[in-house]
Amino acid sequence: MTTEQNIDMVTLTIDGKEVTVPKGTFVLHAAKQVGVEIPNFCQYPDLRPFGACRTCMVEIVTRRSTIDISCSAPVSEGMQVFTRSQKVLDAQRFAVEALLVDHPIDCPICDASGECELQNHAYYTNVRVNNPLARPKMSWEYETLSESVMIKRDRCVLCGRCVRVCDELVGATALAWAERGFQSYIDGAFGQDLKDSPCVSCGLCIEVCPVGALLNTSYHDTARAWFLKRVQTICTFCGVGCNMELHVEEATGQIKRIIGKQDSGMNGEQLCARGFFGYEFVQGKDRLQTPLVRKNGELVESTWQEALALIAERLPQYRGDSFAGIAGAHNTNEENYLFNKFVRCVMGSNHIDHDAGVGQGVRQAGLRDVFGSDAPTNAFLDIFENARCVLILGSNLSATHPVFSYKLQTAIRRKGIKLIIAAPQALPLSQIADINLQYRAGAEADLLNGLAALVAQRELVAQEYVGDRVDGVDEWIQTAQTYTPEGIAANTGVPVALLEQAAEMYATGGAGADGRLDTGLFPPSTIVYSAGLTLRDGGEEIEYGAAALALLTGNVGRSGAGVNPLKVANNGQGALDMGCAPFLLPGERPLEEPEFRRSLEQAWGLSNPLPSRPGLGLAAMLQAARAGRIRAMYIMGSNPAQAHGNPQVASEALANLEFLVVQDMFRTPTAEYADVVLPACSWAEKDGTYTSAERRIQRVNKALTNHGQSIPDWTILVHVLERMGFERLYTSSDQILAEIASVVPQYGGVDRRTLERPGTVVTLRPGKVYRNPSIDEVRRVGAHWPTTENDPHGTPVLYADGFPGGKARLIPVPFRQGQSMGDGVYGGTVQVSLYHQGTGTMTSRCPTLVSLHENGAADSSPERGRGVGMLQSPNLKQSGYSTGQLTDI
Amino acid sequence: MSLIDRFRGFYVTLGEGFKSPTTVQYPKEHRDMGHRFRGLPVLVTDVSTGEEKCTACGLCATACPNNVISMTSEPHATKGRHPVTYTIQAPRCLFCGLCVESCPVKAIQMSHVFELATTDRNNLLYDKEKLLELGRGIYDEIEQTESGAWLEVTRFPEEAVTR
Repeated sequence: MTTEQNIDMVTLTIDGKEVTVPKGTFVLHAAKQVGVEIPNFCQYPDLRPFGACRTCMVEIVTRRSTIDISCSAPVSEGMQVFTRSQKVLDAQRFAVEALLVDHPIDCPICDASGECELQNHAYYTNVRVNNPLARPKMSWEYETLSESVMIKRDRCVLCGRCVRVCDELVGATALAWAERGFQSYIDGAFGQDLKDSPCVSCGLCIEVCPVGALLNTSYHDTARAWFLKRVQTICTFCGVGCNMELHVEEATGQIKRIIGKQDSGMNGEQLCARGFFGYEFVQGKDRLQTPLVRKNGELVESTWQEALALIAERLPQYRGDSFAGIAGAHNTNEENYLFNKFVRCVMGSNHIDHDAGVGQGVRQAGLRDVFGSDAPTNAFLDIFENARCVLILGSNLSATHPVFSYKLQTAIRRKGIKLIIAAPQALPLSQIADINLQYRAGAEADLLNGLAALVAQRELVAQEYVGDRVDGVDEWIQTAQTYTPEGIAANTGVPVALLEQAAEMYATGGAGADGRLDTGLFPPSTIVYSAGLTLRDGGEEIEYGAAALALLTGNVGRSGAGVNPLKVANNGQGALDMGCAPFLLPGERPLEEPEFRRSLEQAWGLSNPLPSRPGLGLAAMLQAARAGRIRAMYIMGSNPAQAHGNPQVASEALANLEFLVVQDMFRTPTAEYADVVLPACSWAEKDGTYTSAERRIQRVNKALTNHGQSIPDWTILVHVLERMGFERLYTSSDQILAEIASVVPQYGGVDRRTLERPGTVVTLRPGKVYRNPSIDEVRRVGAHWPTTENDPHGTPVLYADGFPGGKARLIPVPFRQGQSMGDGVYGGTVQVSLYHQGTGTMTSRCPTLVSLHENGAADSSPERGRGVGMLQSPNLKQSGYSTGQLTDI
Repeated sequence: MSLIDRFRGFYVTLGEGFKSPTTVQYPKEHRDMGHRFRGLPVLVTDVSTGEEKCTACGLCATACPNNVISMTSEPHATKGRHPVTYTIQAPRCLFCGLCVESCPVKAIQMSHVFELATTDRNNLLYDKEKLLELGRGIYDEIEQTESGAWLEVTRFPEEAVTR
């Protein structure tokens, strides 16, 4: 995101090729820039140099000690480096021969065979059968470290990548070296079982292992690396939007494993347990194979012809207000867009919504009233690179948005970012927080508005910024007078001193009262929380408080600042952008404004006007269905019967419908009430785009052939429309994307080509704590909306040039003494678990995740000191919910 | 052409007539194939365990120029890994022997089976059970050569019988 200025450059020669790199770069990285590859094990991108394997040796003839390891030798002016001289080859050969002394060379039965770096280096360094160092080998048996990780220690080269990524990149510190010298081996930290350690089963150690020492239990011995087709796609679980590579065996057409990939999405090579192990449901035995139609009260297998004919016959009867549609937050943008068009134009109804988390629909009030949009303002990489202070509010991001929290902890530890955690109880990130505000459950609004009031009272307001950009300040300040430090402390249960300390740290970006920058503002601070937090009653007050705090301190529209409510599901942001909300048209434009409706009517070429009255939200929809006002429903990839806070209400509502169509991968509890169930493809079986919680539009690619008779959701909709008498408008999802680009203003200029480019180069700024001073360049795919024809890369920071409505509008929240809801505010509790997502439709069908969840791996239960519970839903005991809602446990 | 030449001819006929015939009455009889004859590649059973030797490493499938071989694998207690399915599509096989050459555990061998003609092409799809059945009786043995060196040689069922 930033390019560091004023860096000293150094010129050196590597194998006769001249290269100029920033001072402090290591020889190995410099060599890579001129296309010279040096064999190594322990060097790994984004890790500190370590120098354990001694394989990356080069000859530096301009120094006295000529042979040195290139991964830790900084460049200097006029350096002459040779990487393939006889001396170097001899030294490298010796190193590899030494590593092979105990290696069992059991390549035929080793998972890593074919992608093993020891194989490659042995070949490169000409090590052949007769090893002069040979002696009887030390042997180890397979050992299972946890449900997800196996180890075969005699294959290990002790490079320490696994230990270091676990510490530096994930922050779990679950692995360590044990013993010394020849006896040295990798083990769980303190020799404990990984199941009892802070291991979050992200699989990064397996992924980075250069040999076959750390093994993936679900991949183990089931495929060979060179038979796997690699397809890049986006994760289908949480809103972080990690890029991943699906490894598909072509002979069997099955996903064999998933890995993260360097130089792709914001996550780089990192994934979480859900991403790494959550693919088994695609091959699930209970996937729907054929359409089901209700006959004599039973759902029976049927054909597409019959099912579509029935829909085309029955649906037109319910045009208008007696019809409602529920879109899917896990569906692609194209599908949600088409669904929205279907409900609004064809069915003439505005009753459309999607499950934004915990079975709740989209909230109307909130950040949208202040900024004009409730999208998160800053991109993740921008936060990691430029923020100086991060305030995490009430969300266990380690379970809801795991990769974001892993990346954040790396940035915090390397760059010395200040971290304030406000949560009713300790979170995994609390251990590295500067300030822990442990407030009374439900007091988020009081806390944030109180902090904002404290900032105003302590004269930390960015006057010039506020004057230029914010409306309603005077009124707000007047209301803020009602907040006294003691009052806030009484309502939230946080001591006054801690409140004031936090207010100052946030307002000054952790720099202290005299840390103003040249611009007159303090270093940037940002607020991050899971959007699930604000879905309950009164949730908008939390967002008003967050917005006020950010606006008063000048922390909106700047790099490294902002207010970031992270959507729960992987395409929750996209579903909203595509207009799957009762009161919004595509592009987050209010439905009430006639001009927006007119422009859409024009774009869609409608003869009849769009219905103008805002429809019912998800909860109201189900109430109306229960009361008989809504008589037909179309549900795409959503499961309200299980997700709704009160399952009794949901099941009564769904049972009361005259006609219900459900599109899903599985026979979910919702599908049990349906008249027609249509089998849909999983995310690995279709093309499309997802919009992640940081507004990054990314491409999903088809990796598998369709399962049974299932077809992608958008194709189903096209078929339904065709049967209802409309011409066939789309033959590929790209055509729908092209229409989105022309209709939705934020998505202007987005097309398949821009999303598929190799990625924009992002320069990471090294932190002070980071010993490696080299400037790292990485590539990142996708585009942040709003994009335009001229700038398809998009905008990582929103509102840099002002707000959509000219100025932001502060909304006062009056102080209510003793109004905090206290214990039990979030109702009955279900543990939020790292190993489950949503209603568990997908995750509960992945044996590895289920086993991790049930055996109490880290982040799955409060007993492990990591999980934080959340919102009600009594029938969700097993499947957990990952919305970041908090509760007393 | 003299009469003596005729009798010379009859003499040869007469002489051969009392020897055992070279012609083999195929298909009633089978002739012994040469040791290096390349018939259908088959899977070899490990005599000590009674299981197939194959560890499903996939090298034969990789070496095969015609993609004749395919397999799926699972973990195994003693061998490490183990083929669940193993298929050879005989119609495409060109009997080159690269699979045998690539096998690190000598689990696949060129057998002496060559009668592959059939009325149904599905019969030409050889699965693991069929291949193991065809490979029954093939085993490895260590033998000392005339020069005194020890050599691992493959024995075929008919060789075992004649010995």
